[in-house]
Amino acid sequence: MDYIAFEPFPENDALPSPQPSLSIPLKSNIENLGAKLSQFNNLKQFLQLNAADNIEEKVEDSKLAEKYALLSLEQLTKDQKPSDSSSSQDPLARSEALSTRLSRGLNPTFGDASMRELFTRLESKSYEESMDHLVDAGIEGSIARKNLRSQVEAELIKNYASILADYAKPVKVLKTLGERVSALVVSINETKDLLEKDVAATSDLMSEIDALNSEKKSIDLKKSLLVAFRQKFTLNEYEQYVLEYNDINQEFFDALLRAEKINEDCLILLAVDNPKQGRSLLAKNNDLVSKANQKITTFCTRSLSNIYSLNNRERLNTLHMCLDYLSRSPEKLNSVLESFVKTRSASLLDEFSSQINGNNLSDGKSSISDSRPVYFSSHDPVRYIADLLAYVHSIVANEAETVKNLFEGEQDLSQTASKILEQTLGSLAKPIKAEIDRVVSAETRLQTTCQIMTHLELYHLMFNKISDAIGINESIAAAMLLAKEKVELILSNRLAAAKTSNLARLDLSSDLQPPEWIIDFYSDILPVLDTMTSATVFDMPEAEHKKFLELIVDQPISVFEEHLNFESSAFDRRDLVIFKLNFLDLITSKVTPIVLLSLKVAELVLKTKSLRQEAQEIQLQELLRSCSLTDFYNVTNMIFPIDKELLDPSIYQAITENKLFNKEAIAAANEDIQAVLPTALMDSQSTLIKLNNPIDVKEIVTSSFEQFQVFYTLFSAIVTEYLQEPLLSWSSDDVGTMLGIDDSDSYLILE
Amino acid sequence: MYDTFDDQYAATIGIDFLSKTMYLEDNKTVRLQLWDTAGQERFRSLIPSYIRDSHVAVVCYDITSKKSFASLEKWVNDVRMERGDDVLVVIVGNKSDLGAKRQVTAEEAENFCRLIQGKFFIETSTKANHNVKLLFRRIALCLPEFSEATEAENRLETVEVHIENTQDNGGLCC
Repeated sequence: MDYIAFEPFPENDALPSPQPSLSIPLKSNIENLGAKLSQFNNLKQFLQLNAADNIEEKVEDSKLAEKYALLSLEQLTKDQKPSDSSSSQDPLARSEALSTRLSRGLNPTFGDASMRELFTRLESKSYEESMDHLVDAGIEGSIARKNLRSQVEAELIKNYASILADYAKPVKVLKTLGERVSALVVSINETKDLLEKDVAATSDLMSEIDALNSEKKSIDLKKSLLVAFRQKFTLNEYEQYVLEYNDINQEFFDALLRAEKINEDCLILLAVDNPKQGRSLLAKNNDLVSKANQKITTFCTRSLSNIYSLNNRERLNTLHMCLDYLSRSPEKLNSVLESFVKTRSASLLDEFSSQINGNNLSDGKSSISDSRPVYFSSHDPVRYIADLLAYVHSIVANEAETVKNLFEGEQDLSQTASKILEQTLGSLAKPIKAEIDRVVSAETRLQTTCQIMTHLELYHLMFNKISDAIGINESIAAAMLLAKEKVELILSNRLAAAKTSNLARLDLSSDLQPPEWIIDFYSDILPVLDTMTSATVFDMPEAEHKKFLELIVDQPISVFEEHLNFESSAFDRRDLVIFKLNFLDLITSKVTPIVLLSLKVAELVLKTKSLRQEAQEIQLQELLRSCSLTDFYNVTNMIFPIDKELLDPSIYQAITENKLFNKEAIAAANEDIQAVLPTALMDSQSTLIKLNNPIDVKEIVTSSFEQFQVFYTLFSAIVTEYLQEPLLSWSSDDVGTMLGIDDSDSYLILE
Repeated sequence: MYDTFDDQYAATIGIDFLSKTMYLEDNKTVRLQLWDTAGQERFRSLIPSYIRDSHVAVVCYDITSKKSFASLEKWVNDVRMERGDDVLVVIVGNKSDLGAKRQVTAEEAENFCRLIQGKFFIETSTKANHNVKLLFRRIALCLPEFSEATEAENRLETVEVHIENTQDNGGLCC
């Protein structure tokens, strides 16, 4: 249904003017009417649809529409009159009432579904026939509307009746149910009364049950606590059995670990108010753990004391497990390992003792029972030491193998194994040193001691490669030191013996040959030094090496010189020098081929040179004395030392003041010269016949004669210069020829 | 020894110790303790002391060196002097891989072995790892009968073997 907006018409218009529109709030809300009336749009659409359907019919029937419009206008006019008074009285109230009504009519309380149903029903009814009558304003219309009303009401009642009929059955059921419920309520009340009576009657029992229940809960709690306690703080019977009586295996260690865990847990029990239980448990567990530890320790000790038992792989694995366990407690592990070290050390010492003493060899303990014992070679100290150290080497190798096999696969114990081996082998260090010391100390032969020393050096070199045998190697090093000292001692003793020996002094005979003791001395020591390949003697430090060289080179010379001093009265000066030269020559010839003694060769050469000069001076003086020229030689030298580069007679003018410088004396000397010089060469060589080194002889003779020739040449020139007469018959060349000096004039050029 | 060959193997200093455990077919285990002696002259004086305790002497020569073969007799004499007949002497010709340079025939060595009453003769090549295992296996097999009377049945047998190496700086099997 559309609301048509009325337009005002002028009053003087022929057409009747409709009443002005009511100022109801509906207009102002027309925009949101759709929102306000939720069904408005639906209604509008529905009407539009109907209107559209009817438009075509209506257009044709415009007259009917016009009629309807007129009727409406009339109706409005009629309605307007009585409403004027009221509208004038209270238009606002009227508009509000209308608005309310419209709202109520247009916005029914029932929903769309109901509305749809209503319209459907209306459509289903054939009101179309009476539609014209319904809108008729007359009696027919009124009757039609009343009929419609009555029809609608009848239908409504019919509908209500059908709806109510649906409820009749449930109502009936509900009534029946209500009766039953009432009966039930009664029954409940009765039961309730009975229960109340029963409750009152059984209240004591209930309270007792409650008490028992709570007691049960408490007991259950205690039980679960005790079970948990037992699981946490005690070993079961089987575990105790395993710990006390079972063999050591993985199960044993599991039980032991659990026992130890319990011990740790028990500590918390000691902190509670009553620690009695904790103490008791701790004591019991401690007892089990200590017994188990004792069992492990005993097993380890027994196994390690009997190495052969460990050839059984299972036993070895058990030992490894035990050692793993003991490694958590270093004290216990050390105790076991110390025991092992002691056992092995004792075993090694017994074997070593049997090897060097030859006792208990038949008891089968020796690992080399069918080999010749070391002591068999004790008659030969060098072989004995070599055999002894070879035997020690085999012990070291065996022991290293044993320990390696024992701790195979135990990475954590590798250092411990090394330490054990070191300690075990270390136990042999002192006996080895003592035995070597005994042999070295007892030995008095230089060569034997040196051979022992060489063996010790070689073994020291080999043992150096075995890090675990450091103790033994230190003993060998100490023994080497002792052997070195022994060599030095033997040499010193030999020299001391020679020094104090009367026989050695008597050995200084007139043949001027070196004494026997020095020959023996060098024949002993030099072969030893010759075989050495080290840079210094016995690889000594440089200072000790020098000291040793002094011992074998300088000290024998000192001893000899001391002897010579004692016997000096028996020899003239030349013999003493020849003696010394022969001695030095011997030493030089012995020392020179030895590389280690090369330092001393230079010193010996210097000493020899000095002695050679002394011998040369003696020879010159002897020749001068034979020629009665000694005084002239001395005077000349006093004026200016004779130098073959400066043979100027004018320097020696002062000689004229000397009383000896006269013709008679010089003439006499000339006669002696002529008598002596022809045989001088042979005489000199014969006096030096006891000098061993011919080079020395030649050197001494030649240089002394050269000096004589130089003096003769100078003196001859002086005589000719200051006495104005050549009193010396022979020329310098003559003298040179007679003395066997070649090219004597080549450097004797007088000024 | 250890199935390896080292061209740069350092020369033996003094006497080297090696050990090898042999597992024989009859479940017997023999541990061989081997003393490898140095070829240097200065260590020669030590060798007799090691022969003293040895049960087997493995005397090696170089098949490409007649000189090394010639010195075998001296070494065998040294061994016999120390141990008499209480030692097994095994003659080993090494460097069998150098057949083209051979100076000593296998027949010569066989004859020598028979002459000195050696246990057996074998040619080996440590470089090519030829016959080395066989050598030690044969030595191990020889030993139980050797020491049958003295060794307890179930005890691990420890046998010392002495190796005389007369060849010149040959590579060592290790």
